[in-house]
Amino acid sequence: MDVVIRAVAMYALLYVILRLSGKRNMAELSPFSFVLLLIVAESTQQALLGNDFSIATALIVIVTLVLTELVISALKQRFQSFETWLEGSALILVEDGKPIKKRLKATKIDEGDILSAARKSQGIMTMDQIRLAVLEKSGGISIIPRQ
Amino acid sequence: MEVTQYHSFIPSEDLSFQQRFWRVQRIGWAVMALIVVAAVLGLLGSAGFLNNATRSTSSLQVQYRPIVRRDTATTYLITFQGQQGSQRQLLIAERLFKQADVRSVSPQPKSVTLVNGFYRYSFASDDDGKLAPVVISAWPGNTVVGPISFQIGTDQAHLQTVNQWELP
Repeated sequence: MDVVIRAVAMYALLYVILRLSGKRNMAELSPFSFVLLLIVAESTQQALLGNDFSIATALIVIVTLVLTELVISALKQRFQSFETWLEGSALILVEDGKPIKKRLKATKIDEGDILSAARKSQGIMTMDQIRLAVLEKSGGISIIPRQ
Repeated sequence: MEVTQYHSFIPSEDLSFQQRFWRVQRIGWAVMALIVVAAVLGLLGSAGFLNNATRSTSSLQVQYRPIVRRDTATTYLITFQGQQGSQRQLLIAERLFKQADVRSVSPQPKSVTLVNGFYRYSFASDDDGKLAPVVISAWPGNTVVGPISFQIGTDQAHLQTVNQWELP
């Protein structure tokens, strides 16, 4: 019982914290962010298991987490607004070569990040060549070049 | 927020949601900052100047942390006051042992008996006739999280109530 509550509580806590930290952080991990993620995983593991390292406890934790994920997925599919709150929505960041400053500021993305995504995906060098840059739900930046 | 001519090409774009979410996100960041400040002050069970309490009677003084964490060690420092004798008794309510896993009592008592819901510890004084402070080490977690309350004293007429809050 205790383990199940711990697992569900940690799942919810992690979901909220990672969601609040901003989607982009998860999409493109810098080496430091990756190390940070490992530290978070280690802290979470201790909170989940405590001092109980039995296989039974590990099994309960894994099954609870997987089941919670399944329930959340089903709810997201059933309720659109629930999905929007959990996953966010796509957001146009650059339109016809013009960065939308308010949105960049709100999403903590700078023009360099967009140009970096543009170089990687389209071989684009300047902002003028971008028709649309979209911050996707997944956290990645999609670039649509001008024709 | 600007209206874009390409909005119809990105059906999942929801500006009103985004603006609401950014507000929630800023509140979330403020909450996270408060958590860090509260932790530094000791309000989340760690060491901090707001997480120290002392209860005294004419015969003893108890120092403890009012906020403790589940399954994490906490200590009670008991100092005897007033007249010193060759031995001293300490009464600790049985309730503490139901609410927490008491793992050690130092120095080692001469005897321990359970009388009327209280564990009675007897401690002998050292060669100088002084009684060393008693350190009780306990791990809260035997019950659900929430308040921990028990009485402690040298005799039934001089009991002091220790109140703590157990965090998950």
